[in-house]
Amino acid sequence: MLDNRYQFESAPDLLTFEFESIGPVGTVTKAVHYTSTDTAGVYNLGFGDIDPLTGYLDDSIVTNNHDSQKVLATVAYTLYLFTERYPDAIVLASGSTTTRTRLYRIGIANNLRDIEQDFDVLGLTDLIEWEPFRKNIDYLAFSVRRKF
Amino acid sequence: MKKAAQAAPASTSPKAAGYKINPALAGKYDDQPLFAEKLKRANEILAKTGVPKF
Repeated sequence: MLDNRYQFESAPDLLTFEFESIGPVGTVTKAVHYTSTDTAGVYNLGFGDIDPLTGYLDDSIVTNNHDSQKVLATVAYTLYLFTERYPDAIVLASGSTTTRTRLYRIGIANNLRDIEQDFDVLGLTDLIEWEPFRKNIDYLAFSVRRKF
Repeated sequence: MKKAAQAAPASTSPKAAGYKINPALAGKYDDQPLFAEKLKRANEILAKTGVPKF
């Protein structure tokens, strides 16, 4: 899963990562950022494209660079690095739209066997409860913790 | 942003190779509205659910 990924750069604290998606629509800069929440030890995973017009990050853009698996592998790789530096961290992730969250869910489901070798994965249900991730269930958000 | 705790040494794992450290990235996206919005949402979730139990 992680073999075909983009090269990237990281901040020294391994909280911020940047890489370039390269494909038919050109080169798109993407950023991954782990932000500490108000709850100690819990971080939020943010991910998006730099909008070249505004300079702002946006995760609602459909890049169409035909590299979604490679992008997903790159983001997943940053999660390995982050959790090796912060082994007790819990990471939350959700899309900014229902559609984007569904795409994240599909990405997790398609790689669940690999992911579960190294991470515990929970999904947030409509009842606002965390449960072990199951395929084909719509979740509001996800949380992961590294297995060591 | 709170200072990250529990930092471990840089990895020597084979999975953790092949990237460059760029000091200019430190804090570069701290003020991005997208991440602020996502952080707010994460805090709202955590306020309702507490820390996820694994």
